Amino acid sequence: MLQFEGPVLARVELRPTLIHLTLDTSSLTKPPVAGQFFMARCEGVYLRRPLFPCHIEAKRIAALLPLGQEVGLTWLAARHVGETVDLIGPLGCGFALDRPAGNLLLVGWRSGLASLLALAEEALTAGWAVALLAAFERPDMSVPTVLLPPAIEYQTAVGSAALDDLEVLLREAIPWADRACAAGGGGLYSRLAAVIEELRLGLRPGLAQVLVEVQMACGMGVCGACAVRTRRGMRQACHHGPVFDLAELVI
Amino acid sequence: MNLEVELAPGHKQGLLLPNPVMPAAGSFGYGLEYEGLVEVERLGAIVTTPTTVRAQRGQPQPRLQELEGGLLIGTGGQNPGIGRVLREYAPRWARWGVPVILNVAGPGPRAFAQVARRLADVQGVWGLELTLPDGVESCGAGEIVAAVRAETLLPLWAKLPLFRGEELAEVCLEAGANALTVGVPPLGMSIDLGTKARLLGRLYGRMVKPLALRAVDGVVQRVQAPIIACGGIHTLEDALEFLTLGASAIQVGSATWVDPRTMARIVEGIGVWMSKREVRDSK
Repeated sequence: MLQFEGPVLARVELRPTLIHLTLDTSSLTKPPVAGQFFMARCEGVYLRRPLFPCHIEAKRIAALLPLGQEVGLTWLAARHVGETVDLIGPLGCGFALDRPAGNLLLVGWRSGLASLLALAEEALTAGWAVALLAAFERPDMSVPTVLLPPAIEYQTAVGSAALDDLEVLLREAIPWADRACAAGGGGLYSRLAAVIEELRLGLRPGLAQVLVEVQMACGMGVCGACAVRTRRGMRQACHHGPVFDLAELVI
Repeated sequence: MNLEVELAPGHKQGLLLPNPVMPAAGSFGYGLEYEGLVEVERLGAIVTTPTTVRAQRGQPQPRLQELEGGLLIGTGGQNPGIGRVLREYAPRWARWGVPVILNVAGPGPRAFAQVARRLADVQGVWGLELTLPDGVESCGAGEIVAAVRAETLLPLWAKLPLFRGEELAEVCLEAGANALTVGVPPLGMSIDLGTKARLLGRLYGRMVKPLALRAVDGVVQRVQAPIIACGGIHTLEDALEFLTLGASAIQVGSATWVDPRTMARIVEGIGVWMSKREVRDSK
């Protein structure tokens, strides 16, 4: 973990409201893993904002940033090549894929998809077969196809009933999966837990990991703002997570 | 430049800090969390998260609302309890050169005293800071300090609720406190209009500074004891305002979350400021 100035290496407008920002992280001795995050200082807001990479290389990361939704992230998204961003990280515990490689099901909802893209790349490299189920309220919130690795199987549910439609897709995919990883919260995890309980005869530890999205203040595990209820007591999402075993969470 | 400051005058061992800058309780964990980002040896002291006799699970979400220039945060006093703190952190503290001040919280004298009792023969704790409950009566504040004083010879600081410093300062000193911290951040509340969920918490950030300046000034005028100022300090200039008022030391809270380099910058800046003042005064 370091505090460093990360130069912007590239800025691509994927849509009028979605920026793909690549940052130089060569100051780090070790790159992050998917699900880990950086706390980025942003002008116009008091607290740092967590930045979850959607793409990770040895000396650079990329992030998907929405324009116009939130002051801090909009400021970040407006940075241009050559400018720097004050970053602290990598922080927290990310997704962990054990061996041997098998079938990996990724389930995403809203902004949580960024971390799953980084995980998909890691998993494909490690020999996993990867399927991504994604739900969005509007078509313009979907993952730009340019960011999807070619080897990934991708299905979407879009619209006001997207979560219900996603559950249908989940029921088809869960029996196939050796591991499931999810991000996005907001009702997704209770549905995922229920489907696994039903179709896999119980939710055993090690089967599903989820990235818990909760507002953070310090990002270092000291302020207590991002507390999450788990079967082992309260845990800090920024320090013990943000990725938790689904069987461990009290949903 | 010598920045040392004595924060337990009259105490047998005293509590001499290498400089007057330290984290506020609750902003820096138990000192190990910021390893790699903050050189703890450059600080005047480490003040720990408020710690109770038993582990506290704290309050449910929501716990945080960001505000302009600050935040409202309510954890319900979540902490691992004194037993686990001493097992996990005290061995490291004992190897540090920087003084560690254990912040203690509790509902009343007995709970505070129970924590103090656990500190006998513990290496690495240099003193205690007692966070007095918000609604404590004047006599209750004295009872808390006296109960802890009866259990430990360590230097004691009493951390006073921000708006009640003048009322409680004297009784805490008479009961055995060696210094006063001003103060415990003010209480606040927010309501989510959608879910009607309430967040009860404390205010941190720049907006607290004017309140803290007023509170520190009131206590400095009233008692002859070291005052440790706490509230809204983000810059060297903020720190100098409190020191100019008569505070002996300052604590940095949420500013560390914004930029972990804040305390080191303030230490360095105070050194430069004092050098310039020395040169000016010698002319």
